[in-house]
Formats: sequence, structure tokens, C-alpha cells
Amino acid sequence: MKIRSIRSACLIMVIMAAALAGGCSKQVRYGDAKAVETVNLDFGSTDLQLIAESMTRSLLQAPVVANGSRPIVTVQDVKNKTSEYIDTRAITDSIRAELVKSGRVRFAVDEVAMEEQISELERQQSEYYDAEQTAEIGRMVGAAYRLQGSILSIVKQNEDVKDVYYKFNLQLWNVQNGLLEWSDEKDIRKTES
Amino acid sequence: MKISCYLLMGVVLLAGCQSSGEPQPSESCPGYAEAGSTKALAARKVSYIDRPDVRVVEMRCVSRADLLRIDIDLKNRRSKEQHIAYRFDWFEANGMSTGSEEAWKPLVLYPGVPRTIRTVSPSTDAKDFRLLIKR
Repeated sequence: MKIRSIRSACLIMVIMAAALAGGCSKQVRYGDAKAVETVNLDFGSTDLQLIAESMTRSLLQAPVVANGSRPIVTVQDVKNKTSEYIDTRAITDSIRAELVKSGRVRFAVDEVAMEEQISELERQQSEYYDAEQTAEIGRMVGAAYRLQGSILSIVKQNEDVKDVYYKFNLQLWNVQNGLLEWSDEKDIRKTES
Repeated sequence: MKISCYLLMGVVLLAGCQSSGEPQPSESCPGYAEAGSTKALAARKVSYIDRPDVRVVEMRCVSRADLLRIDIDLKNRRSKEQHIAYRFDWFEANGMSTGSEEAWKPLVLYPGVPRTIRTVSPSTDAKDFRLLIKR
């Protein structure tokens, strides 16, 4: 009788341990990369995607782009005026990728990629390359327009509520004459309570 | 006899005015000819996920510089604030999907107040669209 009760106690313990182990193990699954992300108030993937999409669609309607002349643009800095770290390059990279896919804008080498561009050009001038097929020095095309922008945030909070407001501003400047050809903004408000 | 003649002329004139006037906004949207009405067009173009309590009131489409500009008026059917998300899918004229998958865009709908969502096609290849709305 005693042995039987010990056995059943052991069995119950094993089942409980298995159930606990099952409950504690974390499940991994793939999610929707475009889903609305609200893990916390920090600048996140949804903010980046919203800004990139909004700016791209707006820029496609700008007269200098909509006229079909496929202007050559270079990307400059987006100044981060917020209190948090934001990879603003990721925002401009997304905007550039969408604009290239639209087929309405061409991009010239920007300041960041210039070193690599020159390095490749110089490498091709060596004796190892077929002279007829190498890229010539002095044939790069300068951009007619430059994109630059900024992102700022206003954070307010009390005991119960924290509110973050982001404002992203992007501008398209004419390099030749210094005129502002297009500008737009995207506002995002997030509240945690 | 005279009165019926005048009435007939009036009807003919009105019909003439309607056919030669500017197209109604929904009529410029792709697929309207097959759908026949804004309601039927919305039923074809809008998909709902997790039953958001919203209704498409109006759809407006304009083609400008080979890009399709769309305005869609949504109405909150609840008596309180509703948080939804939406996104557009884009298609070429032959039905193939085009452009990157859009991000879900969060939207707050206030009770009794229509809200217009605006978009423009991502490229000149995009000739048709589908709107997804989820709670």
C-alpha cells in the first residue's frame, strides 16, 4: 500500500514537472514585419516604416519628380534632434529604396559611399583590368538635388501618462540654385498609460 | 400635350447633362465599371480582419502624373473611439502584385466623425489596389 502511494506521488510529481517545463519554455515564431509595433514608446519599426512610406509617396508627387525627368538626387544627413538614439540612415535608406523602385528618381553616390566608390574606380585603373572595359575617372555624375532632413521629439510625462511626439521633416534642395523644391513632414504621437 | 412635351424635353436635357458631366469620384476608381456602385466597389476592394466596426462611406480616385491618388472616407460605427490599422496592396493592370508590402498604419477613429485615409500608388505600374482594415 505504501509503495503504491509513493509511486503515485512520484508520477504526479513527474507530470507536474513536465507541465511546468512546458509552461516555462518560450515559443519562437515568425511575426509580421509590417505589423504595428507597440512594445514601448521608443522609436520603432512602425515609426520608421510610416515615415519612409509617407515621405516617398509625397516626394513622388513633387513637380520635379512627377514631371518624369528622373532627377538625380543625393542623400545627405537626417539630423537626430531627439533624446534617443535613432539610426536615421535606416530611414533614408528605406526612402531611397522605395524611390528607386518607383523608377522616377536616380541617386548619385552620397558622401557616405564616396570613399568606396573612389576606391573601386582607382582599383580598376590597374594593369590587371582590360583598359577598354574599365570605368573611367572623371565620368561620375553629380546630383541635381539633395535630400536632407531632421527628426525631433517632444516627450512629456506625469505619474500616469507618458506621451512622445515625433516630427520628421524632409527637404529636397536644388544644388545649382539653392531653391527648396519640395518639403514634407510626418507627425507621430504615441502615448503610454 | 404641351406639358408632356416640356417634361420630355426636360428629362432629355437632364440625362444629357448627367452623361456629359464630370465622373463621380467612385467612378474613377479601378473596377467601378464592373462593380456598378460605391457599395459594391467597397465590397470588392476592402477586406476586413478581426471585424473592425467601420464602414467605407466614399472612395475617390484620381490619376495624376501616371500615379493613382486615392481618398477613402471611413466612418466609425461605434459610439466610442476605435483604434484600427490599415494598409494598401497594389496590383499591376494584369493583376500581378507590385511594390513592397506596405506597413500597417495605425489610425484612430472618433465616433460619428468620418476620417479620410489618403494614399498614392508607389509606382506608375500600380493600376489597382486593395485596402485591408484590421482592428
